[in-house]
Amino acid sequence: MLISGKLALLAGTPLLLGGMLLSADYLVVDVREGGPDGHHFVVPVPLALARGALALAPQEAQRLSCPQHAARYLPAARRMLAELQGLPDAELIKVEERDQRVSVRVRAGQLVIDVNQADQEVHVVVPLEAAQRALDAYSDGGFESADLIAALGSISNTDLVHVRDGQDEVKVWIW
Amino acid sequence: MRRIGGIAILTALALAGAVGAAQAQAQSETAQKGRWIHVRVDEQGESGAKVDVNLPLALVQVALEIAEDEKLSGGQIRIDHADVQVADLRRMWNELRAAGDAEFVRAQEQDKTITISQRGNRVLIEVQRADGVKQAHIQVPAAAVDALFSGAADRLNLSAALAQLSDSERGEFIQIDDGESQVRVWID
Repeated sequence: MLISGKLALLAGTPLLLGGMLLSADYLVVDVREGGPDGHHFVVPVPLALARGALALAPQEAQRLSCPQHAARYLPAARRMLAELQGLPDAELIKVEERDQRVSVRVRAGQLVIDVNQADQEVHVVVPLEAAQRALDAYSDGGFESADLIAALGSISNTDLVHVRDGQDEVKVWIW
Repeated sequence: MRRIGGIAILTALALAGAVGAAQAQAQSETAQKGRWIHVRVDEQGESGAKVDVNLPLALVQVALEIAEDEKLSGGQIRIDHADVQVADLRRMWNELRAAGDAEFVRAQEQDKTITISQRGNRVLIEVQRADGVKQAHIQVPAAAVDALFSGAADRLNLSAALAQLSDSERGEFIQIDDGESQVRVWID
């Protein structure tokens, strides 16, 4: 009975892990270097596993300290996020010049920043609720890494960052 | 254009403010709920820039609180310019303010007339072409200018000025059209 239980556990573990991986949200980092010898890395990080792995990580990795000079802006940042969250969808800033376009807008609870110029492109999405959640996790001069991962985990299917500079490209998204 | 731009910048300073002193802030935040400031700049020509800014006043206030460098702190900006001293501007404004409704400046140039006046608690700056077309029309509540000069000795209190401005009636404060560019600033 004991042996069959152990066998079931052994057989079940990969299934459990597989299930976790399939159901988990992933933070995907995709780096593509231009040129003939350019590398292409895709690093998918399952957030559920990252949370679990934190328990085994060294103490210093479990907590991110926040410099004092940055921490004093947190209350104002929280207020700004709260204000942004209360806004209807709107384009807050739009600047157009001959070969450059900048746009900052609020769309469906996200702050979306786009900068486009000749050969460069930046697209950043800040999910406001997740950002608020991350800021709320601040205590005693720092953030618990688990809380930050949990904040990331509250985002689903969102392109967070896309930077293109010539042929080099970096993409970060939650999948 | 440079002169109009200078006037626009000065007035924009008055308009650009953010939260005032803590007491004023609490009062004005309620009043400002839902109020937005809009800025449109449309430069003519192939390389002309088009700027479109639409921001809730409350957000501008918070942004000003956050923004901090050697010149901007606590919503007040330090003017560090050899030709422009805040103390002189403040003294000048106090004298003009005391004069009541009056035309303070009328500068006649070859093709335009520039006037600065105070009428019914409003400061008006107008630039009018010789053919009667208005190139610039700027009107700011005098209380907002008072608030602007309420800061420390060498500083303009942007926060208090915006708080005052946003407590005043809605509408257009700056309208500039010099043929090369159009600028509009309004609160609704």
